[in-house]
Order: sequence, then C-alpha cells, then structure tokens
Amino acid sequence: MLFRLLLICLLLVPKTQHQGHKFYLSLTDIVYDQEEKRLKITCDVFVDDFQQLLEKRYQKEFLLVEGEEYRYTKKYIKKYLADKFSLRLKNVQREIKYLGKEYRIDKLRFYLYVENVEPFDKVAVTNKILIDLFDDQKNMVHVNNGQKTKTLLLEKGRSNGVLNF
Amino acid sequence: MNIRISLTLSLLMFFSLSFAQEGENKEKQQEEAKEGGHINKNKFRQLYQEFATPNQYRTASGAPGPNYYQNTADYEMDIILNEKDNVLNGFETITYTNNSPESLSYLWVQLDQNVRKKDSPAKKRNGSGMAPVMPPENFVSEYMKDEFDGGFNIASVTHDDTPLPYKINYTMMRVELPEPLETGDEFEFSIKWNYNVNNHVENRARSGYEHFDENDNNVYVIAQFFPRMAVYNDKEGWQNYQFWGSGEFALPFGNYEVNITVPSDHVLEATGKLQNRKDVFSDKMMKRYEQAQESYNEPVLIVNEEEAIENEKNKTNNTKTWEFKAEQVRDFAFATSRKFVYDMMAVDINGQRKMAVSLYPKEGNPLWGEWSTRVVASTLETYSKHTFTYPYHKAISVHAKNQGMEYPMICWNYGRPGPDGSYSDRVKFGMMSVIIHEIGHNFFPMIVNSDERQWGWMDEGLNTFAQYLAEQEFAKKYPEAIGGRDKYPSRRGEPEKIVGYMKGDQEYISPIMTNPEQVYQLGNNAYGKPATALNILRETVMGKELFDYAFKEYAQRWMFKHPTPEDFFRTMEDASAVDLDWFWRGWFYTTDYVDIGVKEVNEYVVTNTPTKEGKELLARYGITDPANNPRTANAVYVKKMEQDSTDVASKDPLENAPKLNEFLMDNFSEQERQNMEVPEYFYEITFNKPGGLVMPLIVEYEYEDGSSETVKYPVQVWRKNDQKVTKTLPSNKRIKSIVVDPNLETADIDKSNNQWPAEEEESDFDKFEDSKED
Ligand SMILES: [Zn+2]
Repeated sequence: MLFRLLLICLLLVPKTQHQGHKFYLSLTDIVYDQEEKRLKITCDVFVDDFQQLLEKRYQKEFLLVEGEEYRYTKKYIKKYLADKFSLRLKNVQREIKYLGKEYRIDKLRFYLYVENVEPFDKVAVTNKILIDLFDDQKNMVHVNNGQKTKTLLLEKGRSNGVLNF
Repeated sequence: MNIRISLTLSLLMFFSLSFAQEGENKEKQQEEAKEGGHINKNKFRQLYQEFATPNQYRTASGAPGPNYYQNTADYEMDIILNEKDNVLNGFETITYTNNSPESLSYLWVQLDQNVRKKDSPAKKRNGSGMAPVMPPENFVSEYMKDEFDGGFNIASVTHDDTPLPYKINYTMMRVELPEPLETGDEFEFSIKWNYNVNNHVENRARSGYEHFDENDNNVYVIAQFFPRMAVYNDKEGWQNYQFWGSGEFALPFGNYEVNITVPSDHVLEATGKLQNRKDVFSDKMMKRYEQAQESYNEPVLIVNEEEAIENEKNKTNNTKTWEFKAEQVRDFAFATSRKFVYDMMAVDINGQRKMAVSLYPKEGNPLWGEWSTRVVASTLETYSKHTFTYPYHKAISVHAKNQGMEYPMICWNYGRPGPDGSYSDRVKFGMMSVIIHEIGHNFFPMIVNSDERQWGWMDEGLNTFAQYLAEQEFAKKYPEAIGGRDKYPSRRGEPEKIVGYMKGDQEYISPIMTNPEQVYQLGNNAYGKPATALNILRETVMGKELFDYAFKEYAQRWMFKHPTPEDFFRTMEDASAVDLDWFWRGWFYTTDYVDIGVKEVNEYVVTNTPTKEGKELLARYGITDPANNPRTANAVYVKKMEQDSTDVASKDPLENAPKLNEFLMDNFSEQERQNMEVPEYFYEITFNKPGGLVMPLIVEYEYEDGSSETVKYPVQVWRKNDQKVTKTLPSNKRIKSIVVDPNLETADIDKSNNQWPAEEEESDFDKFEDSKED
C-alpha cells in the first residue's frame, strides 16, 4: 500500500512549466551580527506559491498583494513560519521573532531574527516551508556565522540539516 | 622639449609605480621554479579542447557548412477528440526524408505521452517522501482516485497496410524498415494511436485539459499528442536521450496537414493555416475576422464574452472538422473548448501582415481581453527586429491555468484574475511576461531549432534574454501597462537579479553547459543565468551594436536549421571580431562568479627630494648621486602620502618640487607653461579579483571637487595576472573615493570590497529594520 501511495505521490513530481518559476525554491539568508548578538534572517518565497499555501492549509481566502491583505494574514504567516522554520544552537531551540515582510515583484520576503546569540560554530536548521504543498519544493539556506558562509539545500524527507563551521 | 618633459614625467611615474610589480614578479618566478611546469590555464586561452572540431557540416565561423543537412518529417493526421471520455484518437502518416549521407536501417519515433504511463520510470527518478500535511482536496486527488492511466496506446504501425515491426523503449519507439533508407530517399508509414487525455491542473503536465465545474466544461490545450519523429543529425546520430520531464524536445522540420474533429460548438485554434474557415466559422465570425485583418491598433472580438457564456451552457453531439496546413514547422499543437472568447488584431512586421490572436475562457477577463493580443503583437515586433521577420502568418496566445508552454504559432499562458475579475500587478505582469516569453519561443526554438533535450539554455536562455528586451520595449509602447513605473519590472535579465544564484553554494550550482535533467535549479541554470550573461555581453562587454549584429546573424544563419552551442558561440565572435572564448569559458562552462574589488590605494605627490625607492632604482643604473648627476639633476620624484595626510596635497606641486619648476621656467614660455598640465597626484591602485570570472574592470573615480568619471578597463587587464592588477593614474584632483562596478553591471557577488575608502554596506535586513523604525 505504501508503495502505491508513493507512486501516486511521484506523479506530481515533474513540474516543468516553461516560464513561471516552474521550480519551487525558497532562499533563506541567516547572518550572525556579533555586535548586536543577533541572527538576522531574510527568507524569500514566491508570492503565488505562498498564497496558495495559506489558502490550502488554512482553508481561508488570502490575498497577498501589498496593501490589500486581509487583516488575519499576519497571524497566519507568523503561525506558519513558527511551525515550519526553526533553529537550534547548542542543542537549544531558539525563538525566531518576526520583524515584518516585504513584497518584491514576484517574491515575498520575510524578515526574522533571533536575539541573544553567542558566537557559534554549529547550527541546526529546519526549514519545511512550502514542502507541505509542493513535493519538489527546495529550500536553500545560507548561514553566515560571522566568519564563513555555509549552505543547506533542504527538501522533502530531508528538511533539516546541521552546519559545522 | 615637450618630449623631454613627458619623458621626465613618465620616468618619475616609473620610479614609484612599477616597484611593487617588479618585486612580485620575482617572487612569482621563484615559486614557479619550485612547483614545476603546468599546462596553459590562462582564462583567455581558446576553447579548442571544449569545442568540437569544425567540419563540413558546421564551420569554424559558426555557420552551417557546405555539407550541412537535416532530415525532414511531413505529417498527415486525422485527430478526433472524444470529449465525453477525454480520449484523443489519431491516425497519422509520416513521410520521413533521409538527407543524411548515411543509410538508415531503422527510425526512432518519440512517444512523449508515455511519461504518464503507469509504470513510467520518470515517476521513480526522484527521491521523495510522504507529505506530512496535505490539503484535503489534494489528498482526495492523490490517494483516493485510481492512478491515471496515461501514455500512448499504439494500435498499429504500418507501411502500405503491412505491419512494421517496432519496439517501444519507454518514450521512444524504434520502427524497423523493410530495407535501409538511403540518402535522399523517403519512407512513408502510418501509426494509429489513442491516449487518455490528462487533467493538466491536477498533474501539472504541459498539455491536457482544465476542468470547470460550472456547466461541466473543459478547456483543452493539446500538445505532444502524436508520435513524433526524433531528430537524426551529424551531432547525435539519432537523439537517444529519453523524455524524463525536464529536458524538452528535439524535433525535425516538416509540413503538416491536420484534420481535427471536435464538438461542433467548440472554438479551436492550432498551428498552421485554417483551410476551411467558412465551414467552421459562423457568418458573424467571418465578418469579424475580415475586420480584424484590417485592425492594426485594436483587437477585434471574433467571439465575445457574452457569446462564449451562452455557448458554454449547452452541449451538442454534433462534430465539426477543422482543417489545417502548416509548412516548415517542427511541431503541431491545438487548443479547443466551447468556453473560448476569441480575438485578433493585425500587426505589420516589415511590411507583412501577421495576425496576433488570443483565446481565453471568460475566467481570464478582463485581463486577457485587455492585454493578451497586444502583448503578442508587440512581442512579434521586438523579436523580429532582433532576429528575422516572423515567418508564420499568426501567433496565438491561449489562456490555460498554470501553463507556460510553447509550440509553433501557438502557446499556453497563465495569469488569471480573481473570481470577481480583479487582479494584482503581480498577476498582470506575470501574465504579460509569460505571453512575451512563450510567443518569443516561436523564434527560439521553433524556428532557430536547437536541441532542447540536450541544451535547455539554447532556447530558454536566448529566449529569456530576448524576452527582457521585448518586455522593456512593450512598456515603452504601452506606458499605461506599467502604471507609474519607470520601466517594466522584468524578473530576469538585469545582472543584480542573478547574484543570489551565483553566490550560492557551489554544490548546488551547475555550469550552463549541463543537460537540463542534471541541474539543481533549472530556472536559474537554463533561463536566468544565460539570459543575464547575454545581457551583460550586450550592454557591458561587446556593446549593443556589435552584439545585436552578431545575434541577428546567428538567428538568420540558423533559421529553420538545427544549431549547437558552438554554432552560437562561434557566430557571436565571427560576426563581431570580439574574442569571447574567455566569456563562454567562464560563464557557460564553469560555475565561477564575478567578484572584483579595490584592494589598495597608494597616493603620491610630486617632489624633487629623491625618494628612497627612486634612489635605489637609479643606483641599479649606476647613478649614485642623482641630485648632482646631469642626467637626473632635473628629475622630480614622487612621495607617497599617508591616506589621511593633507599637508602636501594642499600645496602646488611646482612649489613643492622646485627642480621641476626651474626646469619648466628655463624651457617653456609663460604661455606654454599655462597650457601644460602637470599632474598634482599620482595614484597606484590595486584591484583584486577573488572571483574566478574575468570581466571588464569598471571603475568610478570621484574627486574632492565633487566631479567624477567612470573608466572601463578592458577585460584583458586580467590576462597576465588573474588575481590582481595595478593601475596608475595621474590626476590634478585628489581622489575622494573609488567604486568598482558602480552601476551594478557585472553581477559582482560581494560588494563589500568594491569601495575605497572601505564603507560598510548596510544589509537588506538593517535597511528594512531602519525603515520600520522611522
Ligand atoms: Zn521557455
């Protein structure tokens, strides 16, 4: 039974449109600011994908257009990000705070941060954003610990990873 | 006299400015002696190893050679759509002509629908897991329905009514010939087939139908729907790369005669010239069609929205057959539905009338009625300007949910307003861009017929580049389309937009010269990066005039032919006399990125006091007491300044260097001296290049008086040292700042080293946070 389910699931895989973004990708940049002891995070997703995600997941109407959003939009975005994106430093899950979002043509950017961060040489990242909607979603995460930048490519079945600097 | 002055001046520059390099060269030589020899790794070496040897088929100039050939496939097809069961039935006769110098003992036919067979290996090629959460309707469609029974059912393959032996290997079918097909001969055979048409919204395919619950209707966009000949050529023999889903198609040219039978209340468009318009159009439609042919500014509705709404309410059991003929096309596709609104407008392309056409269900309005056909017309104009006059008589944009896919003369495009007809800018620009892109594909690869299966970038990259030009021109033609913006918001094309990709982890980046099935990020790899590379080539490396001529030459040389990457690379150089091997090597064959910075700036002022370095240098030429040596008594020297020092800089150099002053007084009249420029400052600037790509070095110098100038040093500055280059600059004004790539033309991935004096660049995060606090 499981085999059959997997097969059907795979039917969805070869998404190849020929203009749109046709491939599902998010890009997250995490930069450590030693002076402020903060991790500063930007996370870019495609607006269309994200709107579709919110609608399907929360069974409500969403309109991700600058200045035209429903009032409850922010609440659901914060909830979704909190559910899907997390960081562990020194084996402790850290609270990720939501600063705001910005529309960038076809992309939506979230600004997030983590406070009171001591210098680190190891970080665990979980990023399941949009993976619940798109089987072939890929989430690229760059982490700069103040010295070096390292990258994770997270996807379904492999949505968390550890970086050692 | 003049000469001596300048000699002296250049001498003193030489003293101080060439020192650093001398020392370095020595060090370098010593190191190399230890290392032993090496092969030529210079970034400017020619691509002799990478490129195929030119031959009689493809010349070193990048043009088709004297023995260039291509085989052709002509089709006669009868197609019947069974709307009730969503089955497509076809009977086709293929005439295949072998123009190759070899004889062929079998033919390969492509069965692309087989990618949707239940046992298709394409479904198993990706790693995957279960979605932990799934929206209810997805769950139903994925787990509760039977797996879709797709793929071709081949009923017969015959030659003169005799069955031909054949073997199906997944998406390809080998047909055995009764006897080898010799050069110049043709072979005619027939295939009878059918397949279940899929719902393309559910399974995200390039073709199929979208279902509308209201009035239980479908919009069909049908492509890859018939067994198609594979390409046989001098590069690949038979194309033997299966259809896995990402790499698109390689198809020969041919002539088509196609009869399509659909319910009689459908409106249909397809590749080719409609042969029986009077039979399938109502009188009203005919009259409007005639008007449309004379309407060059406004689309004319052949079927308007009210008529389409009426039409979709009922269904008929009657059928109609639409007859099309197409010449010199590499494929055939059609769209059909009783839901279609249908409009057309004429567009003049170099004195020839072409028809810009749109088909859309009412769900696309008001956006589609307003823009689709205008976008089509404008795209044909821009592309024709940069390539060749669009050779077909029409170009059709069909609205299909989530689709963006191209075929000769016809394409499917997304962009749907909300249920109340409202739409955001994002939906609007998304729709305009996809129409420009897919209509643009008529040029690449429908006419300049590259092998998409092997090289996704050859059509997607070139097309996305031309799309950028067409978008920008469209906005100039229709300023109301972009509202208050100063230009069209193109998603791709501008160098800054590719930085995020190019600075990414090397593990997930592939060279452009990689098969589309093997890349990690197809959109950046086959579309974004090559499009940006060409844009940079045009605007920054070659200049528009040289680029445009060569690009057009490539398009015209390979119009209705099958080019390879080398044919493109070679033509661009051949037609412009710009050696670009370094550019192709770096941008197309590697994953290197651009990172150029300003590493060190030394400032010098003119002085007559012999400097330590000056003395040492002269000592090597046997001059030990330069002040009293007649050869050097009048020499002036330069003195290095500390960066923040102001004492010397504020003074007149002639005052500061009395020997130079005396020399000038003795040798020049007052008037001559007034016209003479004696530089006050000399700068020795070291630019470094942490990035692997060589690029022209673009530098903006800003002076203390507020003026500035931008200097472009050719890419060849890197030819002898790939890591750094030192430039000297005499100046009468003190330099306040130096910026590398001030206009963001090169996709430099790290701007933190682009400025002198170094300046902390505020991150996006900080900017956003600041703006929130304001
Ligand atoms: Zn495309």
